[in-house]
Amino acid sequence: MSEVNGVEMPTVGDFARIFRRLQGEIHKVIVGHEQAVEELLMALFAGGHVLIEGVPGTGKTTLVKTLGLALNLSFNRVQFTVDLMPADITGTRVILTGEDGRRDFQFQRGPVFCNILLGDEINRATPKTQSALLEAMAELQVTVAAKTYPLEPPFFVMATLNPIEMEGTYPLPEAQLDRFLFKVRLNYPDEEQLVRIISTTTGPEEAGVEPAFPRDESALRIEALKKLVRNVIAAPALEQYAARMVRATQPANSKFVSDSPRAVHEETVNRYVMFGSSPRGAQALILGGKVRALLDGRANVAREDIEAIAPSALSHRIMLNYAAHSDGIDGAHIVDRVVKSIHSSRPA
Amino acid sequence: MRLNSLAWQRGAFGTLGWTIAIGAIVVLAAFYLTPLTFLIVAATLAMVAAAGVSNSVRAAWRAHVNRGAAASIADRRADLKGRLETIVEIVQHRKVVKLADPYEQPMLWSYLIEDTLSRQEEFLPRRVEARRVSRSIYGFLGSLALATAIFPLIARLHGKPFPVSADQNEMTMDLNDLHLRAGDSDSDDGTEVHADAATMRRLEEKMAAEGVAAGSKSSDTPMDKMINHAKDLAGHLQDKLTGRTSPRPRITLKLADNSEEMNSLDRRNQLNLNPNRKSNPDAQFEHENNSKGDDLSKLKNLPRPPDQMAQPSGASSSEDTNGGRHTGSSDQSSDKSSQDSDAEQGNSGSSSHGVGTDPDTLFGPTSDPKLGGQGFEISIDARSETKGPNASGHAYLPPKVRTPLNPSQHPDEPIARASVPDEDRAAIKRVFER
Repeated sequence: MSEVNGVEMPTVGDFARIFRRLQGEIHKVIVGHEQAVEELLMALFAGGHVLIEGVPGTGKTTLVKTLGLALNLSFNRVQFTVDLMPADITGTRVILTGEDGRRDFQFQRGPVFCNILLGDEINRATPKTQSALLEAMAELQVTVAAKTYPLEPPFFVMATLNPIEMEGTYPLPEAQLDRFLFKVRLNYPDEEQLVRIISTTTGPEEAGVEPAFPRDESALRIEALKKLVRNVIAAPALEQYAARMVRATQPANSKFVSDSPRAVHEETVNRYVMFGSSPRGAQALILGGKVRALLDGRANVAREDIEAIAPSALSHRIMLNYAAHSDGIDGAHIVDRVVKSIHSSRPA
Repeated sequence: MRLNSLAWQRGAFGTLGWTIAIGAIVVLAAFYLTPLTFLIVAATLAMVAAAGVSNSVRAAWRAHVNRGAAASIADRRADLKGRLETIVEIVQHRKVVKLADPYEQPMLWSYLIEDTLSRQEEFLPRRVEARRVSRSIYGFLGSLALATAIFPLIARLHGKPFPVSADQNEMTMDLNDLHLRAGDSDSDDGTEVHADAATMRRLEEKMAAEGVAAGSKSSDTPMDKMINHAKDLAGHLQDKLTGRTSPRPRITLKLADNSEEMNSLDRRNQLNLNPNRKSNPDAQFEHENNSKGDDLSKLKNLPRPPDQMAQPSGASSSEDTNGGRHTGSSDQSSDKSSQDSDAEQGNSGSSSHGVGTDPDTLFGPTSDPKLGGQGFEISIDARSETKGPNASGHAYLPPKVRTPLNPSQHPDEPIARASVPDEDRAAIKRVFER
């Protein structure tokens, strides 16, 4: 097997083994939330970012901190508040006096310069501040005062959203929502999980997380794993399948308003969706499908992978109209209906 | 290969099954149905067969798969999670030469091939599709069984003439019961009419009154022509299918004129002064029939001329089988009348009513030259009616039945006026004055 940046390219088996090990380390601290943890790691290896939504106390911040520890990567946390400014995230130019006594503007790096960034309660900051993350998330670089500063890979943003206490919050703009690969929901733990949380967090010993990689190799190893993900083969038919699914979320392509024979007959989309998923949704489907394929020991994406990843990859990219809100319909419901429609349209 | 073989088997078996089953039913229907009914049934069955065959062919076309679709099916059935489909798709979209080059092929290509080959046992053809013969063969066998069951019946009936019963062959009708309409001169299925000279004259008058000319080509509308052509077509088709060369049996209709009889009966009934005659047509009808029966019984006891007695009973049917338009001469009509009366002696009394109401004109003059030129043939729609019109031509009216009211019903009578109390009179007066 070839090498990438001096690190041996992992095999399909290595990927699944490392992934399961990381899961195990995180679950030493995080009780339950198996699907959330898996999706978090999938987003990491797919090269995307994650938006975590959950009520207070469900372990959002703990989950992100534990992931940072398990990956042995640099980790920063930004608590988003109303008075947070973009420069507080990206960094700013300050006047510093050099050794020769000369004063000069120098760029003071903000918390965005790390491998794992936790934006806690991102919807409490103003849209201007929220948008400060856009460039970093999409292009792994920050531009301050007309100068661009690259971020070190891997760069992984995890933002948390509090669905309650909406007073004084700023819903994330669609452009920013679209930049998150997955949206992960953290629900309340059940009784058994709650008992385990109590016993592990109120005892004298704290659970220790053992890093999966040495500090100096960690970033490279993770990048090698990300490269492996990109090499998973997606057949053209599967890419078409993902494209169809994304188009099916767009009301303009619904069978009710389109004569295209490929249009999906999904009344729910036409009734409740204002804007469907962007092309980034199709990218998320394929990338997530590739990670799932590797976890299953395959070098190819299957339709099952795409269907399984669709709720996390598409639900936050769909803008619903007022009728959907009044009828209690959410994005996950729409995606579920679309997946079923697409699945049933497959040849027998 | 196996999937496509099954698809084409499905199309072939479906097509053959529909064709055989519908064909057998059509041939069977040709023996039992009249031409127009046969035409409608055959057309309907043909449409059903066309729809069935079309459905089978379309299903076969849909089931026909290319390599990619076959790989996808194999993936699903062998739970290969898209491995085969991916390989086939990649090979189809990229050149194999490129894939053979290690620098051109995807990094995980060799892994995918090895991984898939390691599962070769799971996607062997017999595991992906165990059947070699399509299930549609059951439908084909079913249609064969149906055809086999029908075949003995068809073989038994093939080439035999139409069954003729005495009841269908001869009918006796009152002239007043007939509704005349013009028949199709091209049609062979006319009805021979026999009656005495006076009745024939009355028939002529009736035809003239109703605007029907003897021997005229009456059905001039395009729709009628089309229906007649369709009937001819269906008849020819039936003849071919059934192998019957003889035409359909023709009905010999014996006409009777009740008006003269009614006159004589009226004269007799005037003496009886029966008050229920007008109000009870049934009783009147029965009475007339009984009277006719008495007359007939008297007539049947009369001695017959030797030539009439010696006339063979099958003469009428032998004439019919010639197929040509029959123009009845006076001799023939009288001969037939005598045959009919002979036949009626052995038949039930129901067919004898109205025949020869007047003993003087029952058989007509044996050689009337005028009648010889007046014989003709018409098409008649005859309907059996249990309550036919009476001799005077009035429609039958059912007797009025008085059903008792149930306890919650009241007779349709005005409600008696109630007296207004004195204390309310002033108030009511005020209201109406306002």
